[in-house]
Amino acid sequence: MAQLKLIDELKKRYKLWTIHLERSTVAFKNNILQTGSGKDIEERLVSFGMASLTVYIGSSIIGLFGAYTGGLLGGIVLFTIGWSLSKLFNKHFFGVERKQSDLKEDEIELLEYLDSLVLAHQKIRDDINSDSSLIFFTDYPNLRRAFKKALRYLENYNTKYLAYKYRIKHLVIVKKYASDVRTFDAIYANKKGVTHA
Amino acid sequence: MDNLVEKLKSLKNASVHEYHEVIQKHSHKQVVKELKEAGLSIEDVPPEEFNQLLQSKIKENTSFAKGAMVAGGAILFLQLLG
Repeated sequence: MAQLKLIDELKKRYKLWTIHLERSTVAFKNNILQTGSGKDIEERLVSFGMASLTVYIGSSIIGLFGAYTGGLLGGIVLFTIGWSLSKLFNKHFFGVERKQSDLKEDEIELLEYLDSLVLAHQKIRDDINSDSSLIFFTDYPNLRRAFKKALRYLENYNTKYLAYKYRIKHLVIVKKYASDVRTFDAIYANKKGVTHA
Repeated sequence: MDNLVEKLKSLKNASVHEYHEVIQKHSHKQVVKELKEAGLSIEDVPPEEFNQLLQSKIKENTSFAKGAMVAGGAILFLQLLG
């Protein structure tokens, strides 16, 4: 009876875990595609801040030489220069949204591999949901190996394809994915002492 | 997501609290849907786990909504949500 209760509990935890896996995979995909670039508030604030700073610094420097600095035209020119510089900075730091067609071959391969893992676990989940009889957690070594391969891919991913913001985010996403894999271990192999992701 | 942005845009003279409430309700619905697809109900999930899923969805939706609203020119929303 206790055994049945344990299996039932593990099945529930496993199904819940699949949601975390789906979310981690989507997060990785969005990061690789730099989804949301150009729309973030902080990007706009940086642009405005840099442009204002250029006006302030520019007019101060010109002022040092005793030139007139209060002109509207001068202000507009300095603001435009600052705005252009900020756009250049934003492009390197915040990046621009990438299309699926812009991805490199190894990136496409990685995304397809991660998607295939999600599909494999959705299939197991569907089997659990459609079959009320006992389902034993089988094929653990292969599933575990597949995750090790995914982690290796993620850790070796060439982040130089990405803007700095997304390179930093990549590290966080890989850490979360590794945590999901540990949770998978805890559930599937019923290991003790490992908590949820 | 588009549905959420449309809902937010349709709010006239709404307070920050009202914006957050719409995002929260939308996120709650999404999490319940995710659980349903996984073959689970809210009762199957420990409250702290459910809360964790909900909070991360709220964070994601808020970030997305801010971006979409600002891109759409809803400056008031930018000011409200900071």
